[in-house]
Parts: sequence; C-alpha cells; structure tokens
Amino acid sequence: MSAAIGMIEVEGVAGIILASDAACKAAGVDLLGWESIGGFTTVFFGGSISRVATALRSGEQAAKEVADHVVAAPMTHPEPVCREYVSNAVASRRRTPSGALGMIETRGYGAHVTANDKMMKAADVQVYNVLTVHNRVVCSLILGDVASVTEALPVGRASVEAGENFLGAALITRPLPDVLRAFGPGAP
Amino acid sequence: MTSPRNHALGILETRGMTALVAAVDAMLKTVDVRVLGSHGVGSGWLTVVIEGVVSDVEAAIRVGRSEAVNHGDLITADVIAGPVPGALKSMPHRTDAVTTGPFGAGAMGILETRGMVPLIRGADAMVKSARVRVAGWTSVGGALVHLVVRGELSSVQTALQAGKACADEVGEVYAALMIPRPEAGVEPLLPGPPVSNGPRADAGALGVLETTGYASAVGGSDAMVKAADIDLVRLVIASGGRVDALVKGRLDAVQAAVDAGVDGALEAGELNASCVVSRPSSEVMACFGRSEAVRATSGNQAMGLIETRSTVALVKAVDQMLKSADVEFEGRYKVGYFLTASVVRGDVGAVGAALQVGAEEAERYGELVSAHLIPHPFPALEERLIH
Repeated sequence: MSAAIGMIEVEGVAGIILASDAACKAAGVDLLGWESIGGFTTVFFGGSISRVATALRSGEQAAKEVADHVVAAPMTHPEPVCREYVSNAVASRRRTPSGALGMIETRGYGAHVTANDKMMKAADVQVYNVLTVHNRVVCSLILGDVASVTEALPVGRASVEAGENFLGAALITRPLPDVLRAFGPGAP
Repeated sequence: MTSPRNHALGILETRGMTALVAAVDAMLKTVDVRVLGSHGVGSGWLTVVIEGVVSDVEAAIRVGRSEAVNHGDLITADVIAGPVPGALKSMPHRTDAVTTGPFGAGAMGILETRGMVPLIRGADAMVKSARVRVAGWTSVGGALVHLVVRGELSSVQTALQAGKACADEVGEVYAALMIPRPEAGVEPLLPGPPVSNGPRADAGALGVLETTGYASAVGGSDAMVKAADIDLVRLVIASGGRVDALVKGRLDAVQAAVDAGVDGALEAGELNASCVVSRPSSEVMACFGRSEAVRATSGNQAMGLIETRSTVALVKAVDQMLKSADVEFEGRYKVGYFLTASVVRGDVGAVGAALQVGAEEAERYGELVSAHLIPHPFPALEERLIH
C-alpha cells in the first residue's frame, strides 16, 4: 500500500488520460486505475507523499488542456477501502500496444463513426478504443506513429468541431504503457 | 448486396428511443438497407449505424432524419460513402443481430416519458383501456424511460391515447409512437419482455417514490416501511440520477406510506415525483411490482449514507469518516449522472459523528448531496438495498 494516493477528477475522460500520463512521467508514481460516475471520471495514482504531490501538480496542469473543471486531492495513509473506488484497475498482463495516442472527445457517438473513418483515410492510424463515460460524453483514441497521428488528428477534429458538441482534442506523442493499458479495450 | 465501390454507411443519432425506432422502421420500409448495430451513450442519446449502397443509404438517412425530428430530437445524421473496409470493427455499435421481415404480429406502441412516475401511470392506463400486452420497458439515460405495448391496431391506438393522457397528468410525456406493422429490424433496439415466472404480484395499490440520488431513495423507503404495513418491492434506477422506490399493499396503507416517504426523501435529499396507482393491472405489476434484490440484513446497527457529485469528494469523506469514528464501510453505489454514494455502519453516535466529519470533508472538494443517518433501519428496508 502506497503512503499516499493522488486523485484527479474531470468531466469527460480525455482530461484524466492526459493527467495520468503527465503525473506518472513527472513523478514516477504508479497508475492505479480510474473511476467513472456517469459524467465525472477520476484517476488514482499511488506513491510516496512527495511524489504524489508533484504528480498532482503536473496532472492537474495537463488535464486543463481539455477540461475546464479539474479537482485534485491527495490522501496520505489512505484507508485500504479507498482502493475499492478504483473500478478500472490497470491490468498488468494486458498486451501493450505502442505508438502516439490521439484523442477526440465530443458529446454523442455518431460523430465518432464519421471522424474515425476520416482519420483512418487521412493517415495510417487505427482506432484503439472508443470510451463511453455516460452522460453522452464519448472519447475516441487513435494510435499510430507520431507523424500519422499528428496528420490524422486535425482531420478528425475538423470533422467534429462544428456545432456545440465538440469538447476537446489532444495528442500524447509517447504515452506510457500503463496509460494505454488503463484506457484500452476492455475498459468501459 | 453491396460492392465496395458504392458501399456506404449511414449514421443517425437521436435523443430518445421513440425517435430512433420511428427512424429505423421508416428507413427499413423505404429502401434496402441493413442495420449494423446501435450504441447508447447516456442522456438518452442513441445511435444506429446502417449500411447499403450509397443512394439507398442517402435516402434512408433523409427519411430517418425527418422521422427523428417528428418523434424526439435529432443529434447527428451522416452518410459515409466508401468507408474504410473493416476499419470500424472495433467500434462499440457492432451487433450481430440481423433480422428482416415483420416483427411479430399486430401493431406496436411506444410511450416514452421523463421519469418512471408518468410511465407507470401511463402503462396502467394503456393496459386497462384496451387489449394490449406489455412487451417490455427500459431506460436509455437522461431519465428517459419507455414502455412498449403490442396488440391490434385499434387497441394500440386507444391504449396509447389513454396512456399519454394519464401520464401527462403526473409528469412529462417525451414521445409516443404507434407503428401499425413494425419491421423486424427494430426488434434488437427494444427491451426484452418482463420476467413472467414466479407468483402473480397482484396488490390493492402500487406506490412509486422517485428521488434524485440513492440516499434520498433509502431515506424515503425507510419512512415508507415505518409508516404503514406495506411491502417495499424494490429500488430501481431510472437513469439521469433518479432512483425509484416501489411499494405495494392495501390502498390506504400505500397512500400513507407514500405520504411519509415524500417527507423522508426530502429530509435525506432530493425528490422528483410520487404517485399511487390504485388496483394496478397485473401487467403493470409483472413489470414493476415483483420483489427483487433480496439481501441479508446486517444486524441492529445504525446506517450512515453519504452521497456526492464527485468521486474525489466521496473518497476523501469516506477516508476521514473511517479515520475519525468507529464505523465500518459497508458498500457503495453509483447511481449515474454524476451521483455516487457510500454507506457506513456503527452505533448511532459513531455514525452521526462520522457523517458530520464526512460532510465537511466532502464539501471541500465537490458537491455534497446528502449525509443521512438512519438510526434503526428495519429488515424490510435492509433486504431491498442495492449497494
């Protein structure tokens, strides 16, 4: 059991994907998993008290790229039961893909069918996962080499950007394997 | 049916199941397209994906678009000509259910309401007003719930009219639709039939208490089982953060229970609506009146419920509660639509102290919805709890 747990909560899911990657890279904390309550999602990571503090600052900053409302909090010597709130724990044995990760987040699912088709036509990218976190928020995750994802992402973004349902788009050039595992197929 | 060159996908996203069913039925009647699957993402937003040759898919989406607008809300309509072959196989809408031809015998009616109180009142009126049978009900998010009836054309017409009028008196009717001869392609979209085994669940009355959140549903239920000799049937999630407590018994007892339940729910949190259905039809009792989720009772301890619109706030609160008072964590429940709740147990003093600490801690990080103490929960409540 870690001495401390850090939590970062946002609306949607792209924000905690960015937060997870930034927090783990900045402070070497362990990504424990995440939780969705139908609208808000929360990422949990564990480590020493000082590492968690550093991770929270970096994670919060990263999440703000796509999320307006970010809540971050540390817990020192958490009660063991707090782990029960991590619904989507990082499965260690899952096969890890590699590549750059592109994210497109909108309200509604239909627009993702079109956007993903356009992105795959524009560059050599694959749909890695389509996350539904309820409250109608949907996030498509695409994988490919950095150049391909960089080329595809603006195409996907342009396809969904019109109208009021676009929420955000972001790129992680070298996502950590744990981040890809946590938000990959099998996660809701 | 299609060659890769003129192959197309059609996408239609609506709010509400009525709009989606109306659109899909009309599309299948108009042109030769195939339903590839559907996907719901909460808040009542539902997407269907079809395929066919470009001209057919274009025509289908045109028809579907206008049907959706007439029977609910249209979110997205699009045609993808020449989609990347096989590339959408990892998308979550895929289903293997492919059906053609008519769907059962007779007409079909759908009543879609916001919340379960108007749905249950409407369902009872439909079954009582004409010879129709209930084919199923479910929720699609955003508090939108729908119920499907089948029967002869004229019966469905009469039933739907009566159901709409009755539902309208106690809540909001979101949509209502009659299809004289529904296409089989709509079947995979619709809920399965209500469970029909087990004893008949007839009762003099059915009471419904609809709250926002778990704590207020439990608080209201606690008041109901203590106020009158009724049977707490079950707690049901209606989506959109709403939880329904259903009770049955003699009419006067159910009325007294619901009156007390309204106060109990308001004391613990938010209340949406309530109603009492006198002499409910057996079809309605089969859908809503059967007991479910029987759980072991956990002794004589007091129960503390804490509910927030934030995981961070809830986890911080629970951590502090367990550290500051002699209480035990019993479980948690995710209601959906931002709501999440946890339950602790202990003696009354400890639970009371824990709730105070938990409430203060939760408010530092997010929205506190409820911190509610039940000093002495009855077994009739305990055995129906769903956390």
